[in-house]
Amino acid sequence: MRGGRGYPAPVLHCALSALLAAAVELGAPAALPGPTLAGRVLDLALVDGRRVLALTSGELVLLRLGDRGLTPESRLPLPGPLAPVRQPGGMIAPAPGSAWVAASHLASPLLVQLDPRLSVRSRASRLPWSGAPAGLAFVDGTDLVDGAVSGLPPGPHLDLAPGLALSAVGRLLTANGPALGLRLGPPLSLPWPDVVVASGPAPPSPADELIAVGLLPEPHVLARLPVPGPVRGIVCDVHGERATALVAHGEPAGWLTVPLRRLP
Amino acid sequence: MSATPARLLLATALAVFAAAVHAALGPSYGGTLRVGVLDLPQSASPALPAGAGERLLARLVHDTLVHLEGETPEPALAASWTAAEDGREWRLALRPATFHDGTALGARDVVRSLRRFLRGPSPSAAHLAEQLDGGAAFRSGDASELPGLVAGEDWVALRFHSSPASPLAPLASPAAGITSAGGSGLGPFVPTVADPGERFDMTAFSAHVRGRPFLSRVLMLRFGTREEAAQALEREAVDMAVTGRAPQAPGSTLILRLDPSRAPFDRAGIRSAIARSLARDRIAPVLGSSSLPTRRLLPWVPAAPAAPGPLPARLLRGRATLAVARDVPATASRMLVAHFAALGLELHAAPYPPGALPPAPILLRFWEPELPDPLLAARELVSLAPAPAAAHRELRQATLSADPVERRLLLDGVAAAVEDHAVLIPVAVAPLSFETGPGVHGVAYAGSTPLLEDAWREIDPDGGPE
Repeated sequence: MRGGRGYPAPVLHCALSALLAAAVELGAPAALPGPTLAGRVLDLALVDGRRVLALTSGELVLLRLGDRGLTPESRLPLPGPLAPVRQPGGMIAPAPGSAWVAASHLASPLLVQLDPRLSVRSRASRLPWSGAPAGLAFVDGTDLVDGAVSGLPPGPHLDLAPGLALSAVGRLLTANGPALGLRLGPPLSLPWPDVVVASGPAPPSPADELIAVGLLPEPHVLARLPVPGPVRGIVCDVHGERATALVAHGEPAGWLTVPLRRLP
Repeated sequence: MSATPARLLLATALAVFAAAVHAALGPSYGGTLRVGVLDLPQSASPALPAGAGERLLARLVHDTLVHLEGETPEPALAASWTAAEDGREWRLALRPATFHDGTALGARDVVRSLRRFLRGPSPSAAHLAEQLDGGAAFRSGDASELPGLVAGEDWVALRFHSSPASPLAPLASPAAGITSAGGSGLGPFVPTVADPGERFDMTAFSAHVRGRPFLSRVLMLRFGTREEAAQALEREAVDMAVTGRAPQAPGSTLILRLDPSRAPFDRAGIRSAIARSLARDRIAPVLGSSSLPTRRLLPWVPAAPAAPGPLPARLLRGRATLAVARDVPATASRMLVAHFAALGLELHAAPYPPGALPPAPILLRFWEPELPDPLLAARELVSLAPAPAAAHRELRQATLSADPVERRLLLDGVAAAVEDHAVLIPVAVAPLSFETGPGVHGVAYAGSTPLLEDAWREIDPDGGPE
């Protein structure tokens, strides 16, 4: 969910105001070798330069992103007892040297220390989240997340990213309200303040798609790219006008990288 | 990579995948599913279901110790089991689970529920009671003790007087649903509002043992006929309905039951002549595209069509009532009325609700075995109508047989003897299939019963407030 970079809401607002409508190109996807993870990918987060934290329905895995693919550095099985949830949801909120992790089948959100290996440092009753003074929590037994986030319509939501939410029916919600006529699937990832990448809005099938959406002046589709399996996680590594989206798809997860480029 | 080649690659990729581009919004939590059925019970308590609607309701509100996957018991509320004493004792470990009223499932709930089941009208209960230590006396009411059913802390044990065939299968009966002391179930949906026999409203049970179902609400509505249910589906007044039109493996048999205590059906020769003369190949298609004419009673036995025999003119005479179960299409009963008219008997068709047994000399109904277990189905078959002595004899031998191959042959013999007796005359095997409208996903089936635990529906974002 969430994306490669976190943008505090005021910064995001200023940046959005200053930018013109974006144009983005999605390049050819490339398969990336990666380890087999236990369960379904629930969320991905870039935790520092070249490492990705993957939350699945069974474990938390710290992966190093290298030229030869993804290599696990550390693994932490989710501490039980895990509640029975037909389709659990999960969220990662990176913090310096650690990450907050919540899942709807976990008893409570965990603060996980990354080094020297993944370990639980503490717990909280709700997931700390920028702009949500009371934090976030999953609606019992679902993959829907709830909590008052300043500037956004009330939930429950399928996903949240800085300044954005995806409603329970796949409608993109911004500070300006719902984006009419545009539906997306989770997760949301923000490579740039004015661009969001998500999956498609159709029911699950053997194939899915990546959709890049420009947020200004109104949300609109910039590009689409077929993906050979339901998209479960997206995280973007951004370098100026270029970015690489790491996509987990299917179960057990297969991995793709997709180059993104802002066009002049 | 330059923009142009990248765009070309993207365009090529889109062209290749264009036909298959679908994505991953769902399964979604929320929404209401309206289901049109032809039968609903007076209460949501566990009972022997009379039709497809009652079977569906039972699976929504209740759960059992085991489920049957084909003929094989699979864990449900019982997480596992072990056999001892040469198969005469079976201990079932209970899974932690919560009832709709918030109380925790305990062994005492299981014992209380199974005692109720054993004294009920289910043929599976009758079979289980016969095998359990003290079961027959308990079922008849001669004893209140039941030494064959024992409760531990988080387990129950069944003790049989001999090593039975299909020891756990009866526990999968919808009538064997486990309830709390207050009568609450622990199925995926909690009944909230009911207009008994007409409508049941249910909401998702958030503490369900396998997780909250995706749908927030299921509303079951009764319709008078399949045709009315199909029309409601077409005008989107319901999202799912029992229409018999959806392609599905046959799960039920359309049978004609003749009352052998009444003339002229007391004469085996006349019954056999009627059975031979039926134009099954003309009746089957009106039951749905997956229906097949058959001369076999068990719906899972391969259909055995045969050209109809000669139509013996003036075989019968007079007038009689043909009681027709409400889930039988009107076209099928009209064809039967015409057929009997050609035989000389003027029939007046009178509909009756599934589950009732009207005192008519001729009855037309669907029959779906309570459970897809050959032994239990054969036992049920001989209880549907007076059966010949040979059928009872072979059933007794099958119950005692330890050899599965021999048992299967004996059970085939039971069905064949009942078929030859021609009191129950099979006409066609048909699916009692449910059909879903657009945007409904994840409906699985146990036999012909839909399982809505994992069902979900696409929610129209413009259909209301999010």
